[in-house]
Amino acid sequence: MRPNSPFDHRPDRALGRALRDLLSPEDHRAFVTRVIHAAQLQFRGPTGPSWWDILGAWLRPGLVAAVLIAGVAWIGAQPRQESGSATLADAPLADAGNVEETAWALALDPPDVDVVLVSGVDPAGRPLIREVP
Amino acid sequence: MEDKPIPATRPGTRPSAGHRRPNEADLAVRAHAGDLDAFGILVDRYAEQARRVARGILADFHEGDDAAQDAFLSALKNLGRYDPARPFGPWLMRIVSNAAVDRLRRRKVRTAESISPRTPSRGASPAVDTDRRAFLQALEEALVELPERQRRAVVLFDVEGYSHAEIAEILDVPQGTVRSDVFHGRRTLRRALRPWQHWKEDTL
Repeated sequence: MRPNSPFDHRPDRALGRALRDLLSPEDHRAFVTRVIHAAQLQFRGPTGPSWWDILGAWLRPGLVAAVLIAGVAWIGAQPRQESGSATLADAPLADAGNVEETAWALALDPPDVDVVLVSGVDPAGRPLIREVP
Repeated sequence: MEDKPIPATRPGTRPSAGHRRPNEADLAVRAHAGDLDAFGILVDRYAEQARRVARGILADFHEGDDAAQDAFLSALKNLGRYDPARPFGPWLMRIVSNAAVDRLRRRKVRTAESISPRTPSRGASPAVDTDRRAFLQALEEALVELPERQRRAVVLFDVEGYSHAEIAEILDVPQGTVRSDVFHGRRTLRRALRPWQHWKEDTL
């Protein structure tokens, strides 16, 4: 080694080599892997993806489902608006030729019993039922 | 007198022509943005140096490695404070040094057992291996006896090749203090290794 002088401000190669030999690690790759794994845990947490990641993953299917439900609800609402006043009473009181089948199918209110019984006869008391040719 | 050597593997030195390595400032910026691959490159580049410094300060391999890991994770968390205009190595070594000193101060009972024995060198005869082990054991014991600040200064200066100015920045002390610590630390180590003087020059 060189003389020990307080004015010697350059690295001591021999001492540095000896210390390096003493302190140098031998499992470099394992250590790097360990640190990177710890960094991943630090970033993402030990319990897997965060709640925000999970919500993010559900965003697209959630939007598609909401659009589908809204579409079905809108389609379902359309016929009710067109035949909102139709009841079972409308059909027998109307002219048989003008009664549309949809009025029967779409009427939601229960039939009035009096109307049903009266609607089967004309003012002369003859039945209105006609035979289908 | 010898020229100041710069270890060939020292991170942070300028690469020679033909060797294009990713710029450390860019890597730091990318790592700060969450790019773990960039962080991995920095870890790979500085792991050995960080571990040597932490081991030198703590005089314990396992605890030194834990401190080095703590330092890397702390650096990752604080990359926003790193100034890309300055070299990355001293900034990181400051964190490593602080992490090791923090562990050192938390260590309540200092055990006599510290640095684990080295594995024998390949190809060396048993006699040389025995001598080498004994020499490293003596070096280790001398290192452990040094005051903490001298250990840090000697390892950073003689092992890692940092300048006095860089070490002053890393340790947050005046340059004169670094020079004094290096001088006193070396003197103690040289005295302890005097019996090995002729042997080590041939073997190491």
